[in-house]
Amino acid sequence: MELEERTSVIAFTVDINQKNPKLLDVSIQIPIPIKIVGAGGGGAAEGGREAVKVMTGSGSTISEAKQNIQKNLNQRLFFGHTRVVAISSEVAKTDISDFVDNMRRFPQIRRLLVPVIVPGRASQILEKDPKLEQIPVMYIKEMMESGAKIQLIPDISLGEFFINMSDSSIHPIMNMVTPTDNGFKWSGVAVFNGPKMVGQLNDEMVWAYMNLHENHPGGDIKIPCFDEKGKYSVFHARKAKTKVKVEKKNHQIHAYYQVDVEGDIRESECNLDFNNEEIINKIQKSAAEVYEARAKKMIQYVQKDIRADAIGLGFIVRARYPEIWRAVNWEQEFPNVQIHVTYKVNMRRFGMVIGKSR
Amino acid sequence: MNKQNLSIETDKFTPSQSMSLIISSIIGVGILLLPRTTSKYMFQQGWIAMVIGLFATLCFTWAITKLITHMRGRIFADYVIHILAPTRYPWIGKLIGIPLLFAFAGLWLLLTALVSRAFGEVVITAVLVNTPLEVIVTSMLLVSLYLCMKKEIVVARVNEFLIPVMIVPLLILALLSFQNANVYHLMPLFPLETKGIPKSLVTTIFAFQGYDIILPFASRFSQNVKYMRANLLGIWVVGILYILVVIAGLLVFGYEELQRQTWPTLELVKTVNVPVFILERMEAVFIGVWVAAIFTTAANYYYAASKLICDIFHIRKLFYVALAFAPLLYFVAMHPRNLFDLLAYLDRISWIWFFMGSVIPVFFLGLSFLRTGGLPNETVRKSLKSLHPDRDVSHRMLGSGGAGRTDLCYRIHCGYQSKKPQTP
Repeated sequence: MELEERTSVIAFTVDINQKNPKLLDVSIQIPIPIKIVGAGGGGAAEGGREAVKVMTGSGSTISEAKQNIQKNLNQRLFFGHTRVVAISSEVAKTDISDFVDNMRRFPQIRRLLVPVIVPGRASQILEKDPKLEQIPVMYIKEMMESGAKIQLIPDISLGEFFINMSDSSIHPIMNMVTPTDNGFKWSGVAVFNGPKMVGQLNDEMVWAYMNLHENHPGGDIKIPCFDEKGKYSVFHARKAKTKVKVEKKNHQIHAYYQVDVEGDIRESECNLDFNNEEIINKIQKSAAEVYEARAKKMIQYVQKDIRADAIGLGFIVRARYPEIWRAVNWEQEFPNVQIHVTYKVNMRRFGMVIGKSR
Repeated sequence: MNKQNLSIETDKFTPSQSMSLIISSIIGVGILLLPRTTSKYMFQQGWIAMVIGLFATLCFTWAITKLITHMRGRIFADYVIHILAPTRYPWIGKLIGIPLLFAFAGLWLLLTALVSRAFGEVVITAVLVNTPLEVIVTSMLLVSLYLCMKKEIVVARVNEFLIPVMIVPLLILALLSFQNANVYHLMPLFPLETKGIPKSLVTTIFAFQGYDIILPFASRFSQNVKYMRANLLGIWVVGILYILVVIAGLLVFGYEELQRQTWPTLELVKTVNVPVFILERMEAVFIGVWVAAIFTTAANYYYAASKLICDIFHIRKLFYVALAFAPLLYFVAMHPRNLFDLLAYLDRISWIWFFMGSVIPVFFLGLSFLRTGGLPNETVRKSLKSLHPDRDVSHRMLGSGGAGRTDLCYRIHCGYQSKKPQTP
């Protein structure tokens, strides 16, 4: 197949058809090469919303929907350059196994592309133009990549999602992106149980998850001031290191997470004197409490509300405590595991001032 | 060991050529399936089976090399018949030997065909989606046929030349894929999945098949050079590469994901993100390398089978024999209906391959030692004994020691020596 005879799909989305809920809508975004800045050198190049075309087709399977798009096209669809796939949360809540199967069987699809869940209709994201990328949807890919680099967003590629999907000891997660007025927003992660989306972690929960599972510091935390209510100090973690210990005591499995966090104070609204060791100890302790509360909220949610082992405790148990893993049915056991989380916060630096700047 | 004195023998194989022949014949279709097949029964410990398999293979290679050095430049077809012939009834040797040799030739032809077909399947799945299978298989067979126009030494040189082209990129790709590794995918290491070991061992030993390629080429091995170390080194190279690939596959995917992939090593390559932005998709490099790997396996076996047939019937022109087989190979290659069929065929043929390529040579080795007491021939020992009644006539003495003794050896040998090798 010649290069010029292809229609490259840069992103595609999967939705439920609004008229007939049995059908799936697949929308694709196609870049128009001549309208991309820098291409051809002509004055016509512009980029953004005008540089792409969005097309939709529906069918009872994803392949059928793609084929229906093909019917409207002059050239052959090519998915080798696809960078983003988005699935609407409605589809995800019913079943995404068709989608996964289609992705896995299709040799053009690469494992490094970015899969996202979109609340509501996924095809919305193809219409947005954040104006910072020549091809609008690349914004999502860049957002995920830079977010993963600064360790704010979990790094989940399609391949990673497949691996977690196959793995019997962990429940897969996928990033969520919400379209805003003229752009996109990362809005936590979706948790899957099998092929179904069962819940959603908001950003704070995701950061707690990243502390516990990935040794990533996650986002900043706000430590309430000792003296004034409603005022906070902001602690920015640079490093996090987690140790997990699992024990079985009287038929009850206990998991002990010990997280060591290291970082700086980024902002202080409180009147604190960081020259005083006592104060430092005190604020370290209250930072640890804030962290623990954040983790506890997340654990409560995954254990009791959605009963899905998104934090990958089973993965650790299977690898390091095979005797416990073999003795129980983890799927049933996970909600009953006693998870204890302790944080140890090390404040290394307090910025360029000591005490309250006036 | 003294430095060996290599005289200028341009049609003899050097040890490094022997090693490359082994390496490139082993690396073939198997490497694409390896992470899946080894982890099927031993789960995260699949690589342990690989290590055990490596040591088993070292033993078999030792035996085969021992056999060919013991036979000193004699043609495979001749010594098989000779070994199998009891002293009293020499015709039995021909009766058993010739069908056995035909079986060898048949196996090697079958391998050529199936390997070319597997190559076609992968190329169609991954890169040349619209190219007809017939074209890919035919071109692979034609290139192999082209090699059959050349002398044996050319085969060895082609193998030697392609070794770095194959191994270096494979090694780099295996190491690059460690960037997505998760150590927990390899755990727990203990307790060992002992139940899976026999089954996994079978698959790993199958993956290592291919060292039998030196049997038909052994008549071109120089008598004054020791090949043992080189051949075993070849197995080590393959073994380490295989273990790296299996560990990389396990580390990146975990055994559960591996079970769902048709060509796990190809998928592994797809996950590789090259830091320097030269090629976005590394599959292209891998498939390119893989062409060389498959070509050497297919062409070597094609050549080996044609040569064996030539030797049985004393035909001079190998190319015509090879040409006669070409259409047959094409039809055999196109015979499997689908991928499932092909993999089943490959699995079945692995059993035969293992039996013919490893068990039978070991049997030959045992038989020849039993019959000659570690010497080339009973008569040699007797005559030497009569010449030097006071000395213990050992194997070593007959070996590469000096021209005079080898000469003597050949003079006595010439009773059954089909072609007298030139003494250096």
